[in-house]
Amino acid sequence: MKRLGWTVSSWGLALVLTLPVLALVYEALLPTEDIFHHLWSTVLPVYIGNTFWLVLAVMGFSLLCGLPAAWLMAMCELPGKRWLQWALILPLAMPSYIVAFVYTDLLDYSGPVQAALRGWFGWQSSTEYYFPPIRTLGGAAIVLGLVLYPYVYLLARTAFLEQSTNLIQSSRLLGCTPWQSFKRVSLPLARPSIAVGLSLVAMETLADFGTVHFFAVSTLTTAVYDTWLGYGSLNAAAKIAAIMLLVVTLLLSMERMSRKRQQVFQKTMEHEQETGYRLTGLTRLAALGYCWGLVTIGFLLPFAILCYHAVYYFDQAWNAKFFQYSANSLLLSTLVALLAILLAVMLGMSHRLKGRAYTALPMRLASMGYALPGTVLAIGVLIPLTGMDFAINDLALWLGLREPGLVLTGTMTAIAFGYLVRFAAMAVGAVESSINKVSPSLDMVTQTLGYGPGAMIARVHIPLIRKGILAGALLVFIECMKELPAALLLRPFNFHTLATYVYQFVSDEQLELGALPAIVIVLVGLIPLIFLNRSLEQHH
Amino acid sequence: MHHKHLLSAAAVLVSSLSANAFAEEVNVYSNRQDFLIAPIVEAFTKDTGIDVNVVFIKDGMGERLEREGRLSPADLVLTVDVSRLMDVVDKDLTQPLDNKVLEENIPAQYRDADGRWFALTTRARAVYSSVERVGKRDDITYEELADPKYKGKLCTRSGKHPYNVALTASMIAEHGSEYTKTWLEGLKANLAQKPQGGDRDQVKAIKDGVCDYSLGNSYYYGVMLSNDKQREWAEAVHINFPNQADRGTHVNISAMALTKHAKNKDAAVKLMEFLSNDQAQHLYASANHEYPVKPDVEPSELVKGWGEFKSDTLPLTDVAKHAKEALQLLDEVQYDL
Amino acid sequence: MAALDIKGICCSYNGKPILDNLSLSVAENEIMCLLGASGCGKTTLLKAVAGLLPVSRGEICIHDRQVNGPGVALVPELRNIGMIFQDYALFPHLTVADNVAFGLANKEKNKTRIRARIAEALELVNLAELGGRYPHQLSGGQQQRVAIARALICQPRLMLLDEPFSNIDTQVRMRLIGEIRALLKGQGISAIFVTHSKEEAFAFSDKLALFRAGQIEQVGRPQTLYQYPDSRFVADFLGLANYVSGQVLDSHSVSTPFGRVDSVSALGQAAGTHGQLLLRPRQIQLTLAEQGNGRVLEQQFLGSHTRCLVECQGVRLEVSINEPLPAVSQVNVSVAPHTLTFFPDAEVSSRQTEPMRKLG
Repeated sequence: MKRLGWTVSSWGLALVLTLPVLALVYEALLPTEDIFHHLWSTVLPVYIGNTFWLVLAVMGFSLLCGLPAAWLMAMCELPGKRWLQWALILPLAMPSYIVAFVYTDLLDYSGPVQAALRGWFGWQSSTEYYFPPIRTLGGAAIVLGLVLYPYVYLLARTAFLEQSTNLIQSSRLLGCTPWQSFKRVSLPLARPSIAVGLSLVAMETLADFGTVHFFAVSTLTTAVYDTWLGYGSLNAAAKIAAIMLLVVTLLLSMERMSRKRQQVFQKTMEHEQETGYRLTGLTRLAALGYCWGLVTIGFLLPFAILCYHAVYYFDQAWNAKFFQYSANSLLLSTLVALLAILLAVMLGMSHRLKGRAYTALPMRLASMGYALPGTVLAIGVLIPLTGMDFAINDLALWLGLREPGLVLTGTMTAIAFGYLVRFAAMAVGAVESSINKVSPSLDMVTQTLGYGPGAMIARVHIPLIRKGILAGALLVFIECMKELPAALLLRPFNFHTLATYVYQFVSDEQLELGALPAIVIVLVGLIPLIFLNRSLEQHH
Repeated sequence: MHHKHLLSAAAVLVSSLSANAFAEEVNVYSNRQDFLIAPIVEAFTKDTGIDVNVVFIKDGMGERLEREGRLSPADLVLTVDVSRLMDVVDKDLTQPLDNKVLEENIPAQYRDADGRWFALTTRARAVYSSVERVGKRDDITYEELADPKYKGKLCTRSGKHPYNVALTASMIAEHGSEYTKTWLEGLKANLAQKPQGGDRDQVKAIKDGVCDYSLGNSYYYGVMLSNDKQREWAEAVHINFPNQADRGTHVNISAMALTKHAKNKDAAVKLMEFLSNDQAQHLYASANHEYPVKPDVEPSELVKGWGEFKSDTLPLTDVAKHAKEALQLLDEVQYDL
Repeated sequence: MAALDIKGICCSYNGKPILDNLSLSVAENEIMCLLGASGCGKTTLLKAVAGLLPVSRGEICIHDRQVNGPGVALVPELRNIGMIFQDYALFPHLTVADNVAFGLANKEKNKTRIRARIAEALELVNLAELGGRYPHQLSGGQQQRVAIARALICQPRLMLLDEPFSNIDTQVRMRLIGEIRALLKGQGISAIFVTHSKEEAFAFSDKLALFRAGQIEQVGRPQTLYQYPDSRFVADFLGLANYVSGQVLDSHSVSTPFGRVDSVSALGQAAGTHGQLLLRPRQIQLTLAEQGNGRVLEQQFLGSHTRCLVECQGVRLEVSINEPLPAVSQVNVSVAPHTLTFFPDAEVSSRQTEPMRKLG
């Protein structure tokens, strides 16, 4: 009976989280309006092409940044490596639209870079020289790649570290140079992890709204936005969203498949931290330059510019609103992180107790929201929540009570629910992978010692997966701090998060005034990153 | 630790549910950023003791009101573009208001005959020209900008931005859709760069020498002039009011409307009346360098300095009627791509 | 010509010296075993020879070619050394055949010839049928044979084996040791073999080098080390040892608490020297006698032999006998004739700082 309770509640929770997706799919399946045909015959093919090339370019660029850095950090000995290996994750804390804004300011015609070039070469106007325009698909790919490459870096580095030193040494003794050894052994072994990293990058790229909107690159995300709010066609917007959902589901299943293969590969391997390649002379200089270059471009420079503005405009930015919105963001993010972890533990445990293939389905369902870009998600959240609001009010009337109003969509509930739907996947993933590491014989031992499922979870599993829980909660927390489009559409009266507050300044071309709250977003995002990296290090 | 977070979160939820259950209040959905409205709202609260809650909604106001239906907390909507306004009105989300004060303050052309909406300010779709390379162009027309002689000299923001959609819609109303499509193709061919950024970015592009002309709302000129960083952009351009020789410059409005399900109707009407009075009209218009609709209220000194101009008398409802068609044309010519 | 010549090398790890001025020589087609407790530097020596660890001082020559020395440090891939790791280090993403072919890729381009060489190598290790499988589908013994085939296919002239048998079931271990020894001998390959198990060392090696804290305690044939250890450390490491204090009487005899014991050949100690006489369990004989000088305290039947604890004149002795004795026996203790090993006391105090019984 107890087990039935677990099953029912986990399916229930999963279905609640699936509601936005279901609402969207339902909407998308309704008969097609003219708008969709019109879009299909005019701009949609271009949007799809843009999206495809953007995702491809961002994946390529983050591979180019993340993979060499991961290999250098895992395999080589470099001065200052201890600092460098976590500095390389810092760009993850940067909201991409802020990086986009900073680099547009630096690199456009009137920015300091082009001005300096004109000064040196004596050019007078833009017609006399060529400078690659940043507000293009290529520019967006570079900016997104700069903030997303840490996903590839983190996963590839872990994979390299987990590879047995013996394998590498063995390949060397069989006649491989370090480069051949990388190509023939390290890289194929790390490929599943790299694929996971790249699929994360691809999904984040698909979900990005701020950067592509700022750079005027029309993608499917912006198409959804335009179609819904410009044409006022929920139906056509839902149809485009469904296309995206399909793509992301494909990406996700690829990721899961490579993770499965990885389990076979990574059995019983230990890494001895003894033999890093010792780089000398020019190679060392190049390696250091490469890694610090990434950190500088992806984090230090934009952050320094933010700091400069924050100090310069400190008096205007340091006010009661700033504190109020910081508190809002922290509170909301903490709340959602806790809820997400609770849910992930529920789902993970219920699967563990049953252990059948189909009991993993609630976890997959609950993770679907991650595939939804914030704008799309907002539509999906509002449809069912509004329905519930009406049901609640009808019930109140029927009971002869005063109508309570929009208790769900008019309060923090909507935004918290939206975040939960969007980011539950991270908590579920973190908890699931740590539960999988707990040996099933521990369950059997515990049960033979006379504990029921509840006691087993509380006394055995939870303590063992503490780290996974923490990591999951932190990931959700950072993402909530950064999330923008969903917050814009779901927030209640007089309510700002730091992200919407910053965006207000960005969209008004006055990031200077928003620099201080932007720094808070970045700094709050940094703490979990440092922590995450440290727990990775202890692991090795 | 965790308990504490949960408790405080719950407390916030509860308090936001029951906030101001007793005080008199008005809830406003606004297309205008909250900080632009804040001074007026403060003045209103000081005068009347009525609290005003504002939520800034950039896009999708009509969608939201429609979805919320009778439960919508909004009593009053403030929009900044006629097609956004008509979206709300056409979806039957506003209620007619028969109000002497408003009718007296706001000229008939700037309000609905049935009292479903009332304009607050107007703004012109101006053409900015480079001081250095072009000079003042009082004779310019929208039509002319599609002429091949401006090839590589024009900058605009995304064609699908409501301000450009409204302008395109007014072209359709004036010349028909075939002409307008050709006009859009001409505009696109003349662009110096892919549409990007906002109206101010186009002025900046003129300053940077990327192009010589740009389309932009008149108030941005004032916004730039009163910003330390952006002043030099504005100083690189002249503001021109097109089509002075024929139908006049295309004008858009910011407006207000009482929602169909307003629960604080009396308070909302008080706020509407307040917004149409001399003090608020002046504040509301000069906060964003716009033109007040109330005839005897002067725009700010800065705005007055740009000179008088003739505005297009095409009814704004006609502009809104062609908005969807305008959007489709913009897609057809792939203006933004 | 020596297959491997190591002269005075020093290695350190994290500033801690691991190998300290160590020298060792391996002859052609000789199997040398490095035996020692874990952490004594055996594996470090192996990796230094392979070029996987930097050498801070000293020289290494492989077949008269200097690979480490002042200003010389040949990269591993050019040393033509085969190495078998404790976990076999098979590439999990490659099939058995591809694993075996791995080292050929840089030398041989002709596909038919590669296939022939793979088949040959797999044949050699009796795995001809398993070329298409993946490493995780094989048993430990099979995996090890794949590792050997992979190393052999490059025709190395020196093979390094790092604890190759530690993951193999005891039942098959001795058989496998015989097979691999025959294989190496048959191919004419010199080998260095690292282990902490003396049984493996005895069975596999031609020569044995006993390690202790980064230095070699004694090198020689396994029987020599077992029977004539230079120190109590060596004696204890290689097998159970009884020590009986005694005094040298003349060149061929020692007096002990249970009487005079004679040596087959000269002791090489001055008469009157006090010290400890080493007696292996097999070197003590027990005969049943009611008036015997010894009393059996405890017996354990172990199948092939019986372990017997005897007290004789206040000295406790471990004795190994063929058949169990009747319960509560009084016995006569005598020493089988052999060349005695006698450690003078001065030496004991200087060399034996800590008993190594646990490894017996």
